[in-house]
Amino acid sequence: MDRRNFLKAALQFSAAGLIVPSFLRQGSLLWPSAAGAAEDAPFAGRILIWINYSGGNDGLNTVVPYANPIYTAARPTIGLTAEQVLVLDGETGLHPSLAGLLPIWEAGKMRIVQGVGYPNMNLSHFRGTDIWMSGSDEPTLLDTGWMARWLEAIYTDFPSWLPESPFALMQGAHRIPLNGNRGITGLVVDDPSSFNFLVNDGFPGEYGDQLPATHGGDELQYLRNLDLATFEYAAAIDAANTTGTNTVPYPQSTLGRQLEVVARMISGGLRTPVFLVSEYGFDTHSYQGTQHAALMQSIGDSIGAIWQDMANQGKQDQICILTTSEFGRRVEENGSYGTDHGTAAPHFVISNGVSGGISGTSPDLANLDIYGNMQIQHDYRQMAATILGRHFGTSQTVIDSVFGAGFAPFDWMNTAADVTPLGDLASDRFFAPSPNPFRLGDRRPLELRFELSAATNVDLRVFDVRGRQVAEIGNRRYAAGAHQVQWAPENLAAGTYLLRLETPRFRKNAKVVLTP
Amino acid sequence: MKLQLPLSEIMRARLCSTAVLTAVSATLVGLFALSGSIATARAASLVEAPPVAASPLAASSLAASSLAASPLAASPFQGGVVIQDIDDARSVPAATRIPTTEERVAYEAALKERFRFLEMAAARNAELGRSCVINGERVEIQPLDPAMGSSLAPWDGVRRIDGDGNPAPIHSDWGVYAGPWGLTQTAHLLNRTMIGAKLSEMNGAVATGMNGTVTTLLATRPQPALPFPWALDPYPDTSGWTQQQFDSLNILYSTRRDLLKLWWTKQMIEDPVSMREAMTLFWHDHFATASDKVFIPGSLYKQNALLRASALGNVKTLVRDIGIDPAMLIWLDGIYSTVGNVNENYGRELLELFTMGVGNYTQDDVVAAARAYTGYTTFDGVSTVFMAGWHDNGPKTFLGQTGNFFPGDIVNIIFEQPATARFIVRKLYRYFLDEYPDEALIEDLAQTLRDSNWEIKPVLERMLKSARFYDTAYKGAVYKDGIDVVVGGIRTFGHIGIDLSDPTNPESVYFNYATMVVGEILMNPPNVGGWPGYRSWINSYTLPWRRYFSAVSIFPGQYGWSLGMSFQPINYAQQCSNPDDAGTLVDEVALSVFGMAPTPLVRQALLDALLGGMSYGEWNLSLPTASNQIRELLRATFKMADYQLK
Repeated sequence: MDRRNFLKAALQFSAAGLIVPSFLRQGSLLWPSAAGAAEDAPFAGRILIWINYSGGNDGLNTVVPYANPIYTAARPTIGLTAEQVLVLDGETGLHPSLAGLLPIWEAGKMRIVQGVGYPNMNLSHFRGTDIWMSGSDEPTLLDTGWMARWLEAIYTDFPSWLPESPFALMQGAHRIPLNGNRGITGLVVDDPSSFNFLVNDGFPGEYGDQLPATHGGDELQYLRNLDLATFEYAAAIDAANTTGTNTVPYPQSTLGRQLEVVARMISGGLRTPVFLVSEYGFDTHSYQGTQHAALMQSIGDSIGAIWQDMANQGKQDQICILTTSEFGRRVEENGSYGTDHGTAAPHFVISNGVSGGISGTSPDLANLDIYGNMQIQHDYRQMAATILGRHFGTSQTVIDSVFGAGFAPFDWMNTAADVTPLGDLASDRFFAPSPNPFRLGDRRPLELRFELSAATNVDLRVFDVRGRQVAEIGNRRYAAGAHQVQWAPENLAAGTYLLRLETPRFRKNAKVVLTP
Repeated sequence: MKLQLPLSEIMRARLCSTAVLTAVSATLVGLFALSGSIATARAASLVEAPPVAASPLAASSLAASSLAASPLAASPFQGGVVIQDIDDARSVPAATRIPTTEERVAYEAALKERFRFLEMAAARNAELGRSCVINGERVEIQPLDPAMGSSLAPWDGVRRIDGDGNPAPIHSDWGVYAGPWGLTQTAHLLNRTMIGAKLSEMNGAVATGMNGTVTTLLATRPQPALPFPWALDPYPDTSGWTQQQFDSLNILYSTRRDLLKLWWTKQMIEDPVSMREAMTLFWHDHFATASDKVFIPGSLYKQNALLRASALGNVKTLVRDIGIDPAMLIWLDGIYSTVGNVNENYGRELLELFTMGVGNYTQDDVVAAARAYTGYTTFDGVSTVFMAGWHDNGPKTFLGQTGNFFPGDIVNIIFEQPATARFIVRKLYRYFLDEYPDEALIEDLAQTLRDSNWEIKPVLERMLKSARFYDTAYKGAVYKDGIDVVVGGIRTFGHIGIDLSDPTNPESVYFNYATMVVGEILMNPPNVGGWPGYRSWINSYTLPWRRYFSAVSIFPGQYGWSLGMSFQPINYAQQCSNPDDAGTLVDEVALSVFGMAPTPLVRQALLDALLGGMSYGEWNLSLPTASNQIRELLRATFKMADYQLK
């Protein structure tokens, strides 16, 4: 009995008690069926698949300086030889278990960036991971993720307005990456097939009542927000997972299973721009040979699988794969046939937009710090900035707002022609209604503001949380530029409503709470 | 020049010429060629360890080839002294010379051979992924894999802010609480300090009063008996084993690990009013050690027993003991750490995660601590051995002091640092009170810990009787962890007929499966940082699963589960002071399982769920439909966000 059947059985038993709001079944204002949906995301279908190696990957045994005698001497038992590695050039080879990456390398779509890190690298797993996820430097404590700050910079009206597909999906749970300044910018979904059933079965309904101004009240509000966002996205995720397909087998490793799900959701039309997945077990302090080889096998075969899968489905141009890990490992092996925490390590960017090759030099093993660790050659933030700038077309102004100044994209990645610049805000926008919450019967009407990049027809309607249309505000043509529409709600009960602005080119929703 | 004869050959040769002894412990003493007075003194106590009796699960081949039968007088393990206290090693004569390269090669090869099983099991584990048996079939599941917990605790320069972005005002301090004492307070106290408190216990605590209840919670109680005859079995001698033998050991150990987890689950459910199991879990989260690497059931049980025995004891003693605990030695690679080939893993985590926190030491201090801990190892997973020849006798500079430090000195110096007491108290505060400690209050309570000479009880007593603890501002500010929901839920609702004696029983499967998907597998924390806690417990994945398993426990049949244990709605409701009044029943249920009193809207929804359409006055506990109505009340309770808080 696999898990899906297990849940199906569970579903049959509980059918009597299961309430699925009708709009979730029909595909309604919130979740139009994937086909023919208006494109509301500003990313032109561009997707980042971010793979984190949890535990600190041994970079020297991933991209191996096999010809360097210092490497050979430092690693008498775990070092890899010229005969073992997959030779890339006269000094560098890949771990033999990374054969799955060779077709991508040979096609010139894989960029290896040597010596990635940041100044004064922290050797703690926990602090190190936080730094890579938050986009900070070593001394700065940042509680938000760089990805979340970037999403917030693009979606200026988050969280009052939510896109039709979740911003970001993460498998596994780290606190920082999705944590934005204005809220949580994504969902954790490990298994979409069970997700929709579970969410619907347990959803308590919406309670918009006042919570006490206490620490407990803060946490309750956090939970209620999470509940609502999860509920609103469950059907979209389920639809994408159901209609999506995989065209190649995936390795049944942790990473392989995660990427299989990612590919299916992309295939099913989910327009989520960022997927964050992880492989675990890289903290190889002892007897790392077999374990590291198994991890390399998982990395190589899983990436190879999704790359081919996306090509088969005509979606390869949409994706970009980035690898990260909190640190590399010590040059010299320890007494336990393993390696202790180190610093810089090589990482990969894989995309049809990159020109393949190696950035930087083979690690300078003669020039280590006092603890025997390598010097960094490239800042991890510049790798991330390259993807934001070139893959997604984000303006340098926005990139600077995410990382601080000084992180310009590398020139080995091209900006694709179909990407429209992000972040200069000449695009269409629907601002949060004001005031919100709105007191029914207030003399001052509710104000709705929007900006149009070109003249178009605008249809404004109001729906309740069950998806029923309850009012029509107007439907007419507007010129390019900023506009303001006033609305005095009539004959509506207090509660939460969704305002929908629809044009032939895009559709956006904004939430408003009407109070008695 | 390398040693030509592999250790396994040596061991096999000796096995042939040595009669197989039955009492493990007696031969264990002989095994490591004990010398000196410590060894003699300890020998007697070792004999008390239970013999490897033929448990129904033990394969007979294991007993025959157990470690018992392999004196290694001439092996690279020669010269080891079994120690029980961290300072025992001080009286072992120091090595007179540094080991030669040949000796190192032989020793490391022997260790590798000795623990070949661990490497094989890890590889097998990675290959299998995580799965569990449901209805007799192994089901592959995707647990939530909590990645690295954040190092960035909100207390690092961040505090809760009010609506205008200003730091929230401090409401209260450690002064003794003198306000009203009722169900509101007892529910808060017992939910924070126990795993699944019952309404009857909360009502009982109202009568007992604050002082009496805290005394009961912190009382020292006898340790549970050895749960299984094999619980402290040494890891057997595997030299010369076939793949088949390793495979059967893997299966045996896997079953035993399941049984240990279930035994601990049972301890939690059957515990009376006491903070002991919650504190055992706290220390398990703190000194997080995972079966995914340790694998040996004896090691896991021994550490669990240590944490339970020290749960309400002395922090410094616990830090001393954990550093030579066999499971910890395996977990953080201490077993392989030798003079000249230092493994930094334990040294780093001792400072970063166990005692001081990032920012209070340097990389040099990590190396110095790691050097002091060299030479401590285990060969059987249940006893600690000091190998004087592999201990680094050189001078070490640690946190500004220099000397030929042993681990006991490292611990002493750590506990001289002002940061240490603060670090431990901060962790207690965040676990039991609120995520955002106030640093002035932390230092105040840290001084209590120092003044008590590192006894934990006075600290907890002061916290649990304080105005801060009962301050309304903090009610509901802590998240129920996965164990609170899955195991605590069963205790709270008083299920009967729980049989965890067999890992394939439906309720055993329930606990194994549920703890896995909510991300808190006992004895298997995600990494050495423990469970990240706070909001990381809840996300769009775990929240629906938490509700699902809560609902399954009340309505198993509706979800396709056939459980041996069952919920008794009428018995449950009879804990209420007036169960025939619908409003009182709803109020007491909500107060006892929520972190805070529900809003009027939520209360109304619960009342509607109980009444199911009937009028308020119609309800009483004798109605034929009462059982089902109470179940529906609980179903609604589980759905509320409030249920996830405590």
